[in-house]
Amino acid sequence: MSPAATFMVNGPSILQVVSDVTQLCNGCSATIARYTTYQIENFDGSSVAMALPVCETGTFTNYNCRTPENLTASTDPCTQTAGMPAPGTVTSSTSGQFIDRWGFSNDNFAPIGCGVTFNDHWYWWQSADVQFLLGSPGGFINTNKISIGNWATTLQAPTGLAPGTIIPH
Amino acid sequence: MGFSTKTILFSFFVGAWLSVCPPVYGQGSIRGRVVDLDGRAIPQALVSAERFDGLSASAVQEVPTDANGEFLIANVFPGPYHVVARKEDEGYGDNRSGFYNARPSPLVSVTEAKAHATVTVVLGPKAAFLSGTIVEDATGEPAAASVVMWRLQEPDKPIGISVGPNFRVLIPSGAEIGVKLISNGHEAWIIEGGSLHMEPGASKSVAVRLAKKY
Repeated sequence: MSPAATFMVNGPSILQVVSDVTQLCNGCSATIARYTTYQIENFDGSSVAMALPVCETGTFTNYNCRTPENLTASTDPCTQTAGMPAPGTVTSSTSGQFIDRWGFSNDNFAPIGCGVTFNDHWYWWQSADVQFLLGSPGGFINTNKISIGNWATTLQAPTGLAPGTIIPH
Repeated sequence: MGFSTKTILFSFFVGAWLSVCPPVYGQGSIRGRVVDLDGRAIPQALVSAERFDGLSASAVQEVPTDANGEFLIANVFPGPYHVVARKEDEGYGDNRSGFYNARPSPLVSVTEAKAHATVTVVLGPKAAFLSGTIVEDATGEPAAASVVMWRLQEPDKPIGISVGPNFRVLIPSGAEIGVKLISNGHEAWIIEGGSLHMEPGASKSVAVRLAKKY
């Protein structure tokens, strides 16, 4: 009989909030944007201290703005895009942090308060076939209110996610 | 470093079906320089391009400037972009909303016909620093909160930054800035005098005790 061996499986698997900023979007007078900085952590809770490719899968539903009729959305999908030198990902900083920006980009979306539901999942992109879930900060993006993981902020009440908050899977 | 955010066009109709158009591959670039108000290069600033149309739910890919303040953002998809920069450890807050900087973030357009844009980003004046500790008054336990700041001339344009028990934030210099800390379940904590007027690079420290709201 062979002696028992202990396996420790560790690796990037946690998204922890570092900061959460709510402000008007660039050049806007009424529409807000939210910038949430995440630290990628290993399963054992230690911070990842290297640049990691990350990507997301998400679905937008319940878009209810009357104008514009069509919604153009920028995301970082996990699927490889032909012609790109790298996978369809972004790269965290060398300390394992990245900033996730949510919000409409201008004041053209009407009426005020309209928006869209966003079901979001962030992954550590290891290869075209292998991605590991880090966290699922789903919520909604309205012109004047943005909710991440059921934590909503407005310009009048911009109390964001507290540093240290773990984004659930 | 690549800038690989994909843009997807969703069309929503009554009955809620949507069509997804394949993205146009990003062959463009944004090249430029980050300087201060006197035109001096700012090395090691972080620069990003943020789309000016549609909805953004994507990571901000930042590239650092070199010793000459120059940067290159590659693999940019066609579209209009704000070019955003920051170097917070030296007092340069980001130029996203105009809260910290005298000049707005420049707007550039990358098109298939003109795939390579160039731009100069001007940061400044340098901000001041507000640091401190936060505890719950009744227990003395460390607490988190959001620092809410606004220019007194523009009270309808605040910025809220979530912070932990030991915090440090930038305060725009040369202007009256309202400052308060808010935390759910607690009374708001307001800076003594209601506002700060600080010089570039100056620093101030506070000890915040949050009183429970009854």
